[in-house]
Amino acid sequence: MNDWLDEKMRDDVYIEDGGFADRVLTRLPAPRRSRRRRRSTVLVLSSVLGAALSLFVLPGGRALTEAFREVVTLSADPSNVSILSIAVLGLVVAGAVALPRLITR
Amino acid sequence: MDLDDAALVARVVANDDRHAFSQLVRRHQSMVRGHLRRLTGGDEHLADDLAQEAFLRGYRGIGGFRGQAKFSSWMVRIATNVYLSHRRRHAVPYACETDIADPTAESAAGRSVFRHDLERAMTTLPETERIALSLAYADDATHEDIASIMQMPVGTVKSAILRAKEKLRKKLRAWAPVPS
Repeated sequence: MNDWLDEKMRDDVYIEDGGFADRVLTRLPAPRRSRRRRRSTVLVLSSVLGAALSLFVLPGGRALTEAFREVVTLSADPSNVSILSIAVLGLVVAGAVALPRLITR
Repeated sequence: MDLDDAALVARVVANDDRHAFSQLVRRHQSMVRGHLRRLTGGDEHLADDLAQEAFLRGYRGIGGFRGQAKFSSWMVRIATNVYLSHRRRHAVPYACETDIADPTAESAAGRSVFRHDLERAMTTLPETERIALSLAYADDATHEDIASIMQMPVGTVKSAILRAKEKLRKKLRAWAPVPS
């Protein structure tokens, strides 16, 4: 294949990108959720579900719901307020740990 | 340091690394767009649309790239399939204008006039010959590679390329060097 046509065809002109690659990138589908993010979502949802179940089913949970009811109706005794505060603090700490993992990829 | 294609592909697959994918596009866009321009008779807009579609398909299917062939060969195969799909949807014959320009002139856009003439002359070739010939120059593909892409026997590919070159030699004879 070493004739003049062959040489001319092999002497190909380079096509400048001219924004082509950028146009391709703008058409790519939305980024995939990473495995880590999916795992974090599953963990958070499981925690919320577990907390909800324990709140309404377990004896300790009943104490929490009772304390919450007393705080709402302004009839709480100090020990119940402490239980509720510890529970809320636990939730805040868990949220603070889980949220950054959920937001970042 | 520039990573090789295999390393860039690995990053795209593992981390959905778009920067790595953009490097792959920049590296191979000229070859893919050139191939599609030859197939579309020099229709730059259509060729670029098809090239974009080819890279998008490449991105979606990159998890299936096993590295048995070069990434460029894999991309040129996808580009050919995109072109064939387009032809099936829009079965419109290309205009066959084959007036050959002055071989000493240069186009304003910097593209060689030869390339322009070549693209136009290729529109007169039957589809099989046009694809086989373009593939032969797109990525220095072997006859076996082309046969695999076009799903036809190697012998058929060889004769298609020979016939195509013979026809082009006649159509582009104005570009042939004058014997000394």
